[in-house]
Amino acid sequence: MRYRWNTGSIAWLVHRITGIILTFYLIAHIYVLSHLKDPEAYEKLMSMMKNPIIKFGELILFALVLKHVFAGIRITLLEMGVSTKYQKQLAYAGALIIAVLWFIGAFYFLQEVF
Amino acid sequence: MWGWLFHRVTGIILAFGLIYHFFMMHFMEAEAYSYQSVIQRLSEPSWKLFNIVFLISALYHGFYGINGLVKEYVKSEGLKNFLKFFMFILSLALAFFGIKIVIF
Amino acid sequence: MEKYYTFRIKRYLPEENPSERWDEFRIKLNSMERVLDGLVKIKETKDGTLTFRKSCAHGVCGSCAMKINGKNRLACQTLVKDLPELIEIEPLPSLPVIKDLVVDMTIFYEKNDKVLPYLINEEPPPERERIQSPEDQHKILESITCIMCGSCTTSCPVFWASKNYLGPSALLKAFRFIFDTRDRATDERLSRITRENGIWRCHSIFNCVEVCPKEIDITKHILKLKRLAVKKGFTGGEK
Repeated sequence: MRYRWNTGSIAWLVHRITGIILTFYLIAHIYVLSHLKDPEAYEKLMSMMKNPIIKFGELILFALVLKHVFAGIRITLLEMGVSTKYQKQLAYAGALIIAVLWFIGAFYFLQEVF
Repeated sequence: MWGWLFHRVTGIILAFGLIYHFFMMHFMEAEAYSYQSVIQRLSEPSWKLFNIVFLISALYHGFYGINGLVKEYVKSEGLKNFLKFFMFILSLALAFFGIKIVIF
Repeated sequence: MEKYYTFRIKRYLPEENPSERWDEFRIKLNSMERVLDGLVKIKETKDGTLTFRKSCAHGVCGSCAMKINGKNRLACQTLVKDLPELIEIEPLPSLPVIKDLVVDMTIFYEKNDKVLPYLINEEPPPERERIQSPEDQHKILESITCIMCGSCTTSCPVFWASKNYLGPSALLKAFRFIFDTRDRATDERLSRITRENGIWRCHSIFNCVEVCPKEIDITKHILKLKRLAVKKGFTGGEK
C-alpha cells in the first residue's frame, strides 16, 4: 500500500530500522565478547578488527547509533512536554547535528587508522 | 506504563553511555583497547558497575523495542507468545554472559 | 480558469469482478473546484456506477474522506488547483472496501465506543446546565472539533499493522472527555486507554496530524494523555 511520507513518518521508520539493526548488533557483540577470556583469542579478534572493511562497518555503525539516539531524544523531548509544533524542526535539527557529529567522528576515526 | 517509562529511562542512560563507550573504544589509539588496558580498567569496581548498568539498560531497551514490534506485527497468538518467551530467555542469557565477563 | 484533469480512480465492483481496477477519466474543471466536484461530474456524465460517500460538501460531516494522491483528505476540501493534473483517488487505506471509494467504517466506530464517548456524571443535574468556565472549555476545544471522518486512524502505520490499536480518533475522543471538567469517569477511561492497545502503542509518527481536515494536533493530545497516565500512575496492566 502506498502512502505519502512525511517528516514524522520518515523519522519513525529510521528510528525503527536502526533500532532493529542495533539490537542484532548488540546480541552479536555480547556473544563475541563472551568468548574472550584469554589474551590470545582477544588479540586475534583485535587484529581482525584492523581490516578496512570492518573499520568502514564501524563508521556505518556510528551513523546508525547517532540516528537512533537523536530520533529517540526527539521522541522523549516531545513526550516530556516540548510542544509538538516543533516536531519537524526537532527532526531537522537532529539530522543536522547527526551529520556534523558523524563527520567529526569519521575524521578522527580515519585519522587514527591511517 | 512502567515498561514504557523504563524504555525512555534506559534510552537516556544509553545515550550518554554510548557516547562514552564509542569514544573510548573506537576513537582512541589501539593502545586504549589492548587486552592489558581492558583488563586493567575492568579491575576497577566503579567501571564494573557502569558496564553492568550499561549492559542491562541496553538489553532492556533493545528487547523491549523488539517486543513491541512482535506485538504489533505478529498476528498468530502462538507465534507471538513463543517469540516473547524466546526473547526473554535470550536477554537473560545475554545478561548472564555479559555480567560474567565484567565481574571476572 | 478551466483546465483538464485526469482522475485515476481505484474501482472495486464486487458484483462484477472480485479484483480491483484503475479507471481514468479526463474532465474539465474550474481550478477553484474541489475533487468532490470532479467525482460528481464523473458520476453524472461519464460513469454512473462510480460510488462514493458525500453529504455536506463543505467540510463538516466527514463523509468524503479518501486517499487523494497518496494522502488522506476530504474530497470536498481539496481544491484541484492544489493538485497536479493527474489525480489519483483511492478509498481510505486499510479498511475493508465495500464498493469503489466506500469503506466499512465499523471497526473505526467500534474503537470510539470503547472509550465511552459520552458524558458520565451521576451527580443530579442542576437547574439550567452543568457550568463550565471558558478556561475549562478551552482545554477541550480542539478535541471537540473532530468530525469523525476517519482520515487520522486510517493514516496511522500502527493501525495498519495492528487493527487492535485504538487509533488517534478514539484516543482523541478519550481526551475530549477525560479533560472535560464536567465528566466524572476519568479513571475508567484512563484504565481503558492504558491497556494493551491504547496510548502506549502510539509512536508519535504524526501521520494523523498531517491529514486531519480540522487541523487538530492529535499527537499533542495523545502525549498529554501519556503524561497524565504517568502522573496518576496508571500501569493499566500492560506497558
